Amino acid sequence: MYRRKDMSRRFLNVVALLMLLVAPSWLLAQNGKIRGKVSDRETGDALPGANVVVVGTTLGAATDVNGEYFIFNIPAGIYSLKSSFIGYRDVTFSNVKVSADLTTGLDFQLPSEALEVSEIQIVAERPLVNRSATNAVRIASAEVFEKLPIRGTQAIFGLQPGVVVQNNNIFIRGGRDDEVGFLVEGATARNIDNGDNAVAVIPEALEEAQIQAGGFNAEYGGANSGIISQTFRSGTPNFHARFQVESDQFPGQDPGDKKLDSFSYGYEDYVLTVSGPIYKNRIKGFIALERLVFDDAQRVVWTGLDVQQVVNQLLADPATRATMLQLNQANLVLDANGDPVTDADGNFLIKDSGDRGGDPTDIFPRFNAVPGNIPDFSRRNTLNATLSFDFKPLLFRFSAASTFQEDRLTSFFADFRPLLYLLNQQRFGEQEQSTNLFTGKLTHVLTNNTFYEVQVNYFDQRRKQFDPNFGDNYLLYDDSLAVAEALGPEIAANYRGIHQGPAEFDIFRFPFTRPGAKMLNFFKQSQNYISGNVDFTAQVKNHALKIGGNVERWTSRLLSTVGAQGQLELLRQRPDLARAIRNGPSDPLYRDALLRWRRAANVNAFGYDVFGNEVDDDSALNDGPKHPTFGAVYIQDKFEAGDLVINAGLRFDYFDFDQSIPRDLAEPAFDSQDRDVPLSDLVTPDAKTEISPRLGFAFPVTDRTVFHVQYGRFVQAPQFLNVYAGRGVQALNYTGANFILNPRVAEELDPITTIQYEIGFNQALTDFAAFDVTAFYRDVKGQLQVRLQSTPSGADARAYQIFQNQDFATTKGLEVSLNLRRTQRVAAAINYTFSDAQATGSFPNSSIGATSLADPIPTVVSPVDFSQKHRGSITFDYRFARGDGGPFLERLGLNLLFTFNSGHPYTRSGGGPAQQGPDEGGILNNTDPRGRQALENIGASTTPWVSNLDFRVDKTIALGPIDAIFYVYVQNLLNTKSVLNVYQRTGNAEDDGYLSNPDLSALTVAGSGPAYVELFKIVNLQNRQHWWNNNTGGSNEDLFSTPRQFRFGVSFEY
Amino acid sequence: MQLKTILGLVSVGMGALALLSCVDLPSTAPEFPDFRSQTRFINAETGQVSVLLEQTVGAGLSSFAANIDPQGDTGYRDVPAGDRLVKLAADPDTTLLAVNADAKLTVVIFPRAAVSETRFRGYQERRTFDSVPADTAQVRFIAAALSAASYDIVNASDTTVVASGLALRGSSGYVSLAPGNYTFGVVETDSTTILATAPAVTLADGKRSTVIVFGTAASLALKNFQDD
Repeated sequence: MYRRKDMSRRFLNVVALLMLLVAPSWLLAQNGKIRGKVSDRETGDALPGANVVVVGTTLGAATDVNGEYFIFNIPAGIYSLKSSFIGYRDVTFSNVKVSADLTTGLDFQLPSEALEVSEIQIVAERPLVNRSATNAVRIASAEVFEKLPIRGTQAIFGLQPGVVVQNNNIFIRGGRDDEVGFLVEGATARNIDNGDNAVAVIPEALEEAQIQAGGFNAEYGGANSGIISQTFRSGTPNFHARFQVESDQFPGQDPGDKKLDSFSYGYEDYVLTVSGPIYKNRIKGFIALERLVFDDAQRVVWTGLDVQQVVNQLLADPATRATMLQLNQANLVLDANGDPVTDADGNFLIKDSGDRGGDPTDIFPRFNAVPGNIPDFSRRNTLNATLSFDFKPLLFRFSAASTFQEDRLTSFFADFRPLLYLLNQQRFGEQEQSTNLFTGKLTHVLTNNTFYEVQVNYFDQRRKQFDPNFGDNYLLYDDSLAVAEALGPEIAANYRGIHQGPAEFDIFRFPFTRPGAKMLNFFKQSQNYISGNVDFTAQVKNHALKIGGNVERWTSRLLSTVGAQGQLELLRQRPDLARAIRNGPSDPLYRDALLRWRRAANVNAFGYDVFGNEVDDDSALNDGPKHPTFGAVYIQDKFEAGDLVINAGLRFDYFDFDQSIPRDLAEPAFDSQDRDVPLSDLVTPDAKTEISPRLGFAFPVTDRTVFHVQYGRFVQAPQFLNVYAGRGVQALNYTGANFILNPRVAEELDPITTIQYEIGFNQALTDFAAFDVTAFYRDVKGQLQVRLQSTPSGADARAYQIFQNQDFATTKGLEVSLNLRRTQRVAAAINYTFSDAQATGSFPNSSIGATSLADPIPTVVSPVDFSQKHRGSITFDYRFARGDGGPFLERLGLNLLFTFNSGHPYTRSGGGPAQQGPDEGGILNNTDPRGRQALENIGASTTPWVSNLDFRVDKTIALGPIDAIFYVYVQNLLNTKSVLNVYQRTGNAEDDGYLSNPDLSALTVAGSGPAYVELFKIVNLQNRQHWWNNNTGGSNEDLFSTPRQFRFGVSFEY
Repeated sequence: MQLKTILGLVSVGMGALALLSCVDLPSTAPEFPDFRSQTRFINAETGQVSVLLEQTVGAGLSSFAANIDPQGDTGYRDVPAGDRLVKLAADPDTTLLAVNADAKLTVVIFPRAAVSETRFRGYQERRTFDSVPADTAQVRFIAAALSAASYDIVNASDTTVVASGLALRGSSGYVSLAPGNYTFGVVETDSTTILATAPAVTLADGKRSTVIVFGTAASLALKNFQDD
């Protein structure tokens, strides 16, 4: 393959040059700084040469001639600082909060030894107004979120101004969900395939999470809308341990049982943390381990279904009985008189109609999908740990974040209609996923004002979906003989051929999967990267100079849709092909075998051959792994003089997307017969470079008011889900034979760019209250958009869909937060965001339906799907401190969290049932929107407002050296069934507009009878199976909010 | 050394080791099947024949069975499933024989009047994993006599027709009969004159047999071969 290398070389040269030029001064994120002044308490005179140390560490500084000091490179956390000077009493501040990238101001006023005072201990008050931030930085610290009635980092992020959580995705300031950057310990924690957060963080391991909704420093990159940076706790100077367990199960509560009008989801959460010194105070460790279990991972409104009960009730009614005997004879067992037959328990026998290929004499087995619970599970084990070595001038910090998760999948391939699959639970698929992120950082302190850091990170994420009966051997998935061996001959007897799975039961026109049917094909994916950062920091007078650089090289492999029925049939029909695959490329039939195998199921493979063997290079038949590589160098100068802060930075980004695209998009060379793309026709475009200036100011207006202004340019790579595909899938696109929602073919892509302006101010209202107002404007260009690529008449390739950098977006908004620091017993916070996000597309494939109608795609700016104009939260915490309120109320706390948001835009639409079956009625299909017709402007309608109230009460009891904290929290206290999404046909979440519209349903209803109608109501309206099937489904995307859940816990802290 | 911390960290670390692991992502594909068949050759020629067979594509022909007697068979042998190239050692031409996966197969070597005529034809018994129906016996008849006539097979004891209209290379498919002793005869279609009979055969419960009509129009012979 033709590949241009000059850009790579040029980039490396630039990096080397910049590093040489700026060697004396660098800086790194994840650590904070304390600055302040030491003065004589009586005279106010500066005290040059006074010492300030961070207690329990080797960190510290001496004051300069002006009595001022800086202490750098302090890991985010809570510390005690002590100042001492000859002739003066020592003063110690405890509870000093240090946040990554920010400067904590702390002034000491030392009393003279002549005064009759002992050493002074002061508990520091957290500053209400941070004067060093030049952009809106929201900090979620452990001491706050530990008291909230929520759990999990995503829930915590969702409370922050500017952040929208919708359908389980995080959006910041109107950016797409792949525009959020996730960092853990300074290392990338984002899945490059879809942009999601990839690293699980245990809340108890989190020191703080910084949410920078835009405006971040030049040292951050790769994200356009915001950065969520998470820092683990460090080892403490003293030994601490904690064990915590939570459950949502009342004693004796079984699945399907309701207690206090709520179900249990089999939730259990165990957390164990240990922290302390290992060797004096020089080596400290922190470790946290969590096991999180859900017996039902889909915590959704779920009424269950008992088909037998439905039929019994209908047949008990003379009118419906007569209709059913007329219309539903195929589904009822009738005696010689034409009356329905019952079993020994009086239940009417129901049988397969045979309309879906099944045996029409088969009796439909009774099953009862109980209310409340879908029988899937999710089990996750997570480790977060840090190990710190403090051998000044050398400091080392290692961290590990590891997760292993297994989930039971209730979906059938990509379809998600668990209610219809419950007869086949033995073949539910499973997914295993593991993530490991290891970081190692060396800090070398050169002087009190200068240090450099070197960090190396390794990330590995693996995922596979498999049938637990057969594991990785996908050749057995559709093999009736293997099914017979694994599940018994009576299950395998449902097979219609050696590789032809059971037909579905057709029960009053609804398809219920027969036991034994394969539920998924084998899938595996791995992503890993190795990255390195080098950073220098120097404080030169009032300038905090930072220069740094990083390189991140990924390796991405994927194999999907392998083990399909067609492939297995192919092997039996052409046994020599199976032998050729065994023999490998030397076999004369190997190429034919590979192409036929790939074609039989549209296998998408890169980094693996189409059979699943790892390959490391592109070759005539295989696609090697993808190696996107990112690099950056930056320079940042934070000038702090008095209260004036000027934060200026410049960032140079390098993006090598490792794309493979046809030489000529209009006429891509491909073999339509073999569905193959010749390697010689693919080129890898040049790497891209971008320069992004950032500039911010913070300056005081009064003693209590600080303004900040920020301008910045931000660039990032697109999500690679739309970029990478094996050649077989590319060729499928060129045939134009299928409608493909996500084409997985892209033209030469550029980075996506954003310009953001931000202005805001912090106002301290009183000594315990302050508010923050930030207005922003974002202009995003080059977001991915799908378009139609036309081809010349007579060309092999037909017009096909392809991604390009074309969508653009603008967002403007206002974020307001009011913080009431704890005074007396009350603390509170109010956050509110107004935003108006408009774009030419909400997602890369938003315009897929239009590609079949217009070329080019009409440019229409409209509200994005995830634009919640109003969103906010109110947190109220009432807490008795130690020694307050008497023995019963002492250390008792209550916390209320009220969240609200306006709905999100959607488009009222119409259209016929198209290719939907009677079981799906008239649901408008998101996976093939070609038949959908908008009845109004895009995004002109809005879903209803949503509000939610959570509650927590906790009580701490001291048991010797151990604090026992007993707590209960209730999520969705009022059990509100909020509408999160609606049917596009009706704008209603309860009515899909099918049964209520005779034009759509009259014929089907007339021919199918009351049992069909009743099942439609239960399956599709109450339990939303057809809606889930056309969306992500379940708790990822639902019409209604999560029902009330009680959680009980106890935590023992030493 | 802070023993408490070390013990704590190590304990939790051990717990983590027990609970955590990387997903075992296979770096290789599962082993693909080497589909086999149980194949026998039956010689309907009038003289001895030797069979050459290509075991795998591109490997070339090699001896499979030498000197099979007239009306003799090789017995079932393991053969790689797939498209197998076969020829008689004495013949110049080859035949591509479809050998199904996991199948029992009878290949009859036919006499031929002209070189263009098919020399080999396979008749599949059953999948090796299929069970034979119980409480019944099955038998099939294959016409391998070099004759232009069409034949029926009758039960010699009462001349009831068991299979009809068998021309050269024709097969009746399996016919279900009650288990027991049978003597089959061959007659020309629409005739009742038995031209030849097979030795008496016992059709066992749940077993299958193949009866082949050998010879020429002037000299027919029937022979029974057990399939199971």
